[in-house]
Amino acid sequence: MVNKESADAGDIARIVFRQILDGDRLKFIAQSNITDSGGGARDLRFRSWDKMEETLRKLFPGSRTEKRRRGTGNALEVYTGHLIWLQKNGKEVSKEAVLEPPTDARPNEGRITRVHEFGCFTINPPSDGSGRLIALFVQKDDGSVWPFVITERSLEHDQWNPAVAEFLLSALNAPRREGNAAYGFIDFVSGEKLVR
Amino acid sequence: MTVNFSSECLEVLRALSERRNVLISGPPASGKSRLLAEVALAFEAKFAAPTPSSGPVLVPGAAVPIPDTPPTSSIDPELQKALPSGTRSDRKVFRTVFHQNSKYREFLTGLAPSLSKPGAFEVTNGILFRASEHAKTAKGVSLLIIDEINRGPAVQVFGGAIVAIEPEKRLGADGSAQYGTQYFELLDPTSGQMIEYAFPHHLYILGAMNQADVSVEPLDVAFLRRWAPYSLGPDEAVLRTYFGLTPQTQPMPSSPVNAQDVYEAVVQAWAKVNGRIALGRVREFQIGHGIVMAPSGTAPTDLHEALALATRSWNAIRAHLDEVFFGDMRGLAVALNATGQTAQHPYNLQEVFFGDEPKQQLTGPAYVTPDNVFAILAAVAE
Repeated sequence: MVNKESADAGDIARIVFRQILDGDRLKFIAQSNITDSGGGARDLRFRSWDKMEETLRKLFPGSRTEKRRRGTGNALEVYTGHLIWLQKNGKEVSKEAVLEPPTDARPNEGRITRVHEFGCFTINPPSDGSGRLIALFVQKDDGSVWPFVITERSLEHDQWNPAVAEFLLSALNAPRREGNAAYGFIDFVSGEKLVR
Repeated sequence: MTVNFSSECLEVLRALSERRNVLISGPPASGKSRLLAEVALAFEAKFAAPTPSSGPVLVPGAAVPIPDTPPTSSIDPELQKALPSGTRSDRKVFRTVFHQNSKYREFLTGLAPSLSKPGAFEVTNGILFRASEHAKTAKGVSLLIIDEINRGPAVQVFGGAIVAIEPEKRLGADGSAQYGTQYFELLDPTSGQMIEYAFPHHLYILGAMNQADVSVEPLDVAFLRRWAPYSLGPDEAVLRTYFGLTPQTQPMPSSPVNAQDVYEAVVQAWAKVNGRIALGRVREFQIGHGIVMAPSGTAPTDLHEALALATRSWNAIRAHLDEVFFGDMRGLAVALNATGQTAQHPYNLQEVFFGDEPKQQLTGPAYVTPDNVFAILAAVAE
């Protein structure tokens, strides 16, 4: 648990993370997970919607009604926010991102849609020796949300904030079923955290 | 990393150091509130570097975006020179907004009904009194920020204190009475008696106003001469930097290819409208650059999002124009460049009859949408 008193001195309000599995990496560069399938949803999924919703909504504070692209085509309220990142030339980019609530088929799973359209995810960290990958959605006190893709090796060897590195590494190493991605959040304002 | 403040912020701080009282003026959306916030932040600047146990800090461009030791925050050397009473460590900002019902007793002291003792009265501690008392403490220094200073009865609210705020009529830096110290009578919250009171050296007052917004009474010359003026105005260079635009020599395309085309049209239309307002009314009725900037702080790069932003911006500009040219349909048409000089302008000034009486009417799109906003902006900017 991060000490709120020390957190008050920083400028990060909360971090949502999700481990990136090999299939997710292909989604980011708009390729199918399964070679011959020719497609596949390019979404980043979060299970435990009942536990994640409140925090994810802080990152996606807007909402609008859309027609669901899959299934029945019924109207659906989706949540919107902006992701901000720096291009290689240092220029800041902001793009609207959409968070879809669960479907009937997956009643406890939300998703950040069309992740392949975000340049911040197309960076391709070296896989050899870099360990596992994590997508971070870092929300600052001013409400802006900055996504990053980072490596387990960097968390272990580079000069990360120790509270953040320890939390993420312990989340990666928490016991879970093989093939399931680690995900969760740490909120420096409320002091809450979740690891799945 | 050094915390850098804008040149405007440093200029205001220097003016506060020299004159104690500064009045920022400018049209709406010209950055007054932003500047007030920046000055407040700079004024309270902490001299101590962050401790190693500081919470996580995001550094987006760094190899490690959430580093162990956050970048050391140090005071900009320019700020250090400009900072009023820079050696004083107990730095406090007090903020208020004047309105039609602002009163002397809420600003300085006065009698008000007691909440704890029904039927009784107590002496209030107004915000100027609290700021002044804080600035009289050993390490204290106060900045009182008064936004919308001309939307309240400012002359009445300051009352007899107005003379005593002048820098040369304050107490000395050590709190002692000087030859020129000006005292005025005040109801003392502690004793309940009338006392002679003077303002301290380490009290600074920063006001802000939009000269076009006078809702109670204009500020008289005697009031205004107690303040060092600082003017802000619409600044096209700020917008060009914000949107990443270079001065345009090419004609505007018939439809936008990318977000930059949209922003170029927005900036040109905004600049032309401001020029026409200055001619048809006065400069004080112009609209500042902030009106066309994204509330989120970052301009979207996607064409559709840029058109949505342009629509919101244009609606805000148009609402301002409707107010400025209320009852003057021809003036509004001139501001919109819609007097028939421009072919295929979405708006058109027409003469109609109300009974036998000729009237002027502006026809055009009922609603501005992302689909028609570019054509409107291009026609206004032509």
